[in-house]
Amino acid sequence: MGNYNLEAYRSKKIAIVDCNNFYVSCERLFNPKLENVPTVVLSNNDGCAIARSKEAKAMGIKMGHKMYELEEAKKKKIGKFSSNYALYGDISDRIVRVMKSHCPKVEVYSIDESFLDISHLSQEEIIPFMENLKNEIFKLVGIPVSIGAAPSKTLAKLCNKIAKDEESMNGVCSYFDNPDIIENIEIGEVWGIGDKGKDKLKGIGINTISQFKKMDPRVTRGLLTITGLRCWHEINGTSVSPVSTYFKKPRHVSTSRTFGKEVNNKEGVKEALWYFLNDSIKKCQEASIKPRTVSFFVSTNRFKEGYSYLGKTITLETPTLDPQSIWNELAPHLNLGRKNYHRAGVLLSGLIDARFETPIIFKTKFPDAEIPATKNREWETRRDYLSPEYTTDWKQLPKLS
Amino acid sequence: MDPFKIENRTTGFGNPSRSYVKSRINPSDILIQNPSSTFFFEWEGDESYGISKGDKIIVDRSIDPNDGDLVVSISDGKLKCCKFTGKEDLDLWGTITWKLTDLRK
Repeated sequence: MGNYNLEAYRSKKIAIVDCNNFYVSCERLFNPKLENVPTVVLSNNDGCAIARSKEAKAMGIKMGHKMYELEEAKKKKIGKFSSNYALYGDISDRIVRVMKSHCPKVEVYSIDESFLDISHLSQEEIIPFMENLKNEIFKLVGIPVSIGAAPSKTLAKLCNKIAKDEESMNGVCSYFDNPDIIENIEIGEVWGIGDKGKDKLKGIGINTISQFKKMDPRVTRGLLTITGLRCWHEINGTSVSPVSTYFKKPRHVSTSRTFGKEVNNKEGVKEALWYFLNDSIKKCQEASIKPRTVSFFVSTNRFKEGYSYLGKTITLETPTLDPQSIWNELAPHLNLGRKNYHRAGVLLSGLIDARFETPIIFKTKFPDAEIPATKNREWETRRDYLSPEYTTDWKQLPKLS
Repeated sequence: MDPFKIENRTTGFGNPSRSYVKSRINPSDILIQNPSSTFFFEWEGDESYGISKGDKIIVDRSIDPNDGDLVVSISDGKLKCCKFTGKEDLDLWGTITWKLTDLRK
């Protein structure tokens, strides 16, 4: 271990910027009449609610609420949208750019959350920094955010929740100004504890953060394994998960979908797989990697009788990003029957640097397999309530008069 | 073609102008000052403020309007174009910076 500077881990200042109801806020940006109207954004195939406005939450619409279970009366009152990832992705990118102009160390954690290393700021500078950043993001991009700051990511997340829930906080909350603010929060709210961990802790009488903090770390580890111990350190103000700005090479890249409606012919399924393969290859190209192995699967609806699943993993002759040569090796394994296929996917793994040349010693000649025509797109995800791609397509610009 | 790209050739005399190469002018340099806050719209109504149907409108949310500037504001839940006077209470969305007109018939 040697010179392990514990002080460096104890003096971190980390902020998390979390967009408020991000998908809904993106829809409202170009559709202001939805302001104050209960609004939800739906999952793939318009199945259930994956983002809800404050008003929709107040109506009792839960995360994952199935749309067909929603009463007609409520359905009429709400604004609903299919997920428009082209729009959300672009708005997210704009927000990240604004954050990077305010802070050099930004870890993009998800489409609507980023961690910022603000260790260079003094305690007094934190609140003004967060207020300024919040206002700037709203002014430039039009999306409301909440920001929490603390010595660790786990504590910052809790502060973020307080910033979001307590109106008096005005959207920002700093642990450094009031470390007691989190003491009475319920243990289940802590990032990384989970339902199982919560039950175990409750079993030994630990219900709040203040109780959890005082636990013996060895007991914590015994009860919740190393993950729980990391969490205990984070809650006690030691950052064990620093803000990471490195590019993380993905371990695998995949594209899979539930079809908009069942597909019962081979051509339709092949067409979907070809599309998914090309989509995954595109993701690899963006990350400058290429796969050594390719897997695919197709399946029927597992909640229906006669469930059938076909899947296979193939090691490629040579790592490549050429869709035709991958397809040549994949196509012979597609022994599809006449079934009602419901879901399919492609996964690329064994990823290596795309610049790495891999010599082929024994070359098997795979005959060129026929490329499926992309004409019917029967498998396409159902998106009945899709808003325009306001910022990524010249033909779908918002209208002005 | 990217003028900075080094050709994959090993023969021939090096291009003596390489040190003087600059990026070709790109309209984005003047149209998009702040990529994060710039949005495009399309004019759909009758001609007004010298803007006609089909024109593309560039809006920059980061710019504070001056008196007389055209702006996008929220009125009755809709995004509308109006002239900024600084007097009235306006729910400002962004400042219009440019219009693009296709001049072909």
